[in-house]
Amino acid sequence: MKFFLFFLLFLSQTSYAYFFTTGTYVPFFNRAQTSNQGARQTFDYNPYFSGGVHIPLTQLNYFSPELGYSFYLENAKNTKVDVIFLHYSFSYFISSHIVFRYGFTNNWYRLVGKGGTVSLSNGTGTTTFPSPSKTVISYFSTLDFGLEYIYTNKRYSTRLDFQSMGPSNLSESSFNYLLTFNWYY
Amino acid sequence: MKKFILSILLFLPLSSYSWTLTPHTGRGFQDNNIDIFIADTDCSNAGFSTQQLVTLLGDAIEDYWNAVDTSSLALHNKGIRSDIDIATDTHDTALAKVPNNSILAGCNDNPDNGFDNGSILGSTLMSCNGDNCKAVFILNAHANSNLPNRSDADLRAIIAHEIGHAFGLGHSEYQYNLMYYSISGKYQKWLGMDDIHGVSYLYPHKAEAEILGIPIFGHCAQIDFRDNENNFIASFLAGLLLFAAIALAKNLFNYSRL
Repeated sequence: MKFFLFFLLFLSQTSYAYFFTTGTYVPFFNRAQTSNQGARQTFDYNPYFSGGVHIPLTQLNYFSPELGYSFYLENAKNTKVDVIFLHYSFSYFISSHIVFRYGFTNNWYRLVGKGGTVSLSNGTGTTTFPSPSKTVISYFSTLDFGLEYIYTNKRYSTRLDFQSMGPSNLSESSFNYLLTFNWYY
Repeated sequence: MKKFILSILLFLPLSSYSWTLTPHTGRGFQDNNIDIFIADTDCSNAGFSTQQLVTLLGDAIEDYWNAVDTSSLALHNKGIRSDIDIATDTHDTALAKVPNNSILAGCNDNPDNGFDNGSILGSTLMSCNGDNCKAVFILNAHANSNLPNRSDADLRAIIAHEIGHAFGLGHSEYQYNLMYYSISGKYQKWLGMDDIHGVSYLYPHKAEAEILGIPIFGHCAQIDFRDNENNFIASFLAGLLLFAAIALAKNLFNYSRL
């Protein structure tokens, strides 16, 4: 209960700034194959929306929790994928326009199967394959770092955040990135 | 703003994903830790030795399936089982030799497996009985086999494709995915998004935690330090506690200035 009181007291402070974000979520950057020639994922448009708050810790450091949502733009009839993000980010103002961001994110990676079957080639004929028929969520956390550029009017910014999906082994880790445009008020 | 929206529209759906599951079972193994054994059979007509198959299998596991960070699948290359020989087996008879909750790999030239057709590079049978699943994949070691003409990179991809069937995935519709039915006409160095989504669907990182009996977001989750399945609650609470600590520090700081 004390925690919630502190939490409410904390939220009652007036020195924080809300922000809303839209942009794209690019999963498995440079790791997922996207062409027959072996090209890898560099950019994709998966809409990303979020809202968050900048909470000042010191003059240059902010705590910036953020709740986000993204979905894959896909045409598949039988499957759907979306992601919920809970970012625990910290922001450090390198200058009045450039912010270094770091922290971690809990990801709810939701894979939705709509059931049914699909007939696909097996090399000598066709085979009927079942499609996924239930909803599965894969839960994982990422280690994040990125940069934000705040425009002169201080109302808008652009952000690039990378997420390491294997923080215990960065050299082997897959990375996602979020490229976003942000509104402050 | 109009330009911004138009620029977004330019990138609207260009791709499509659709993974499928193994015929007959339509599911994966119960456990995300799966052992893969290699039968002690001659693979020379396939262009490699049984010992080389151990290496190719290990690379296929590590380069493809164990590298998916959104999945908890952990395949283990257990090497050659000298007590298992599938040289003359069909898929059905070979499957009977596979220990429960594991996968067996091997080579043979049995025409009953369709291997007199050299373009069939390998095939897989998976079976589940209750919670127990097992699978066998056999590579074509018939004299007609096209496998000897393949590069090591192709062989790794072919083996990884059969492993995909063995743990529960069906084919993908799109050629750049590993689970597309054919390796011809492409260079398959990485998994496609269908493959990634498929393995994540069958073997997700699990969630079990609750706070005061209340599931968080329906369930709760974990922090992915690879093998630890129960750390999410710790990370989530750590985040909340951090929040609380900051709030406390900030309020104390403010009061001290009054």
